[in-house]
Amino acid sequence: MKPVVLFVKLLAWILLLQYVSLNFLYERDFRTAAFLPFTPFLPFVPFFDWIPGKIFGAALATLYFGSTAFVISGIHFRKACLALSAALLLSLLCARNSYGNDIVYCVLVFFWAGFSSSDEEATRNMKYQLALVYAGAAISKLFDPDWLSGEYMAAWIPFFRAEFIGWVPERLICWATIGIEILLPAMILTGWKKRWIPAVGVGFHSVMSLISGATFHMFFFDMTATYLLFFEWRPGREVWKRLTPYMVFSAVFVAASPNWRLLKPAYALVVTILFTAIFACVSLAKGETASEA
Amino acid sequence: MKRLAVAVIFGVQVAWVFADQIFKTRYGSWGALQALTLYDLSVQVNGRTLDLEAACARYRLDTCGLNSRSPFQIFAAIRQYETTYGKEDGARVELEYHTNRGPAQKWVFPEEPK
Repeated sequence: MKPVVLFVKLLAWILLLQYVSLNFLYERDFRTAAFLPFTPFLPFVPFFDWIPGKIFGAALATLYFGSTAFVISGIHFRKACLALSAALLLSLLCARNSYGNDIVYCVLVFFWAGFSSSDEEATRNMKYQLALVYAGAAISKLFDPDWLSGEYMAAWIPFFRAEFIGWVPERLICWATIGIEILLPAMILTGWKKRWIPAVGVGFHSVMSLISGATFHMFFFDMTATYLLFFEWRPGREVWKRLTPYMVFSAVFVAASPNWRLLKPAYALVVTILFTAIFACVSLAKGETASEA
Repeated sequence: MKRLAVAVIFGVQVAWVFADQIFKTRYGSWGALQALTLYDLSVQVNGRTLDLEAACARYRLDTCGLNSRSPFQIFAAIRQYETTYGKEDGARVELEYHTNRGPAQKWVFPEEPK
């Protein structure tokens, strides 16, 4: 299986698991869904308010679950990716409060998977997209005086439960974040030290999640899974045997993170499964793809 | 043709990243977790005052009392609700907030003309 196909299928699974865990196990309320609200509410485009809520909800759910099934099974893969991208885009446009960068990123990844003519082209566009995400975040921070002075982090730290972070100067954390968000797109676009790109990227997001105790909805999973694009998928015969250490590592990772201990067990289990899948995929993959951006 | 479409899609995204530094809506500019806003919200509807919880429920604001992106997103949600679904209610909204340990500020709806 090509890395880009594996990544897109994994992302579809991540979305589905997050959706099921957040809505059925955690919130038990569809109105406050992290994404895919079943009725339009404060839409970005007024048009959605004119469609009867039940009809809209049924159509959106059918499109989302149908296209997800096709993406995961690989049937009509490219068309299904475009349909899934459209379903997520509709869910974003129909509810202002459901907006999240994690969903916007998924919209674009599925769009590139469906729109591109070949796996190589899709990989290249997704790598450009990844670079743009980091560059955009860095530019937004560089224009923000509170990020440059460290004031932003000083305001956030009381909400972090990792007490050790209080020892690190706030300005250093802000500038380190900005520095990595500049470094990563530079590495991705120029190919400089390309073997280190997944390590820098996954390491960056893991440290952020450990410090904050949050996955920022799906953003952590989306971004770490993206680094599969830099590998060739060669699982070998003893996949399940080799998965065990990653499962243990993921469980420890989840348990060690301060805020996740407060989560309901079922949701923590889903988070652990997602961690296992991502760490295992990244670690089991070998070498680099033939097609580089 | 396809290359042109790809270039346009990326070009629009790059342009929007810079444009949003002026608008500061934090929609689509990848500037997530940009500003921590703590707020208290008071809404008067038909002579009745809604507390923070009830006010958040009215606008379906999650993480009530805290927004991690931009205060403009709270203004936008309230403004849109009160000019559409809640137009007939004639609600008066007071939002007291401070961003990143900055000074306390106030935003009201109906908005005062500038």
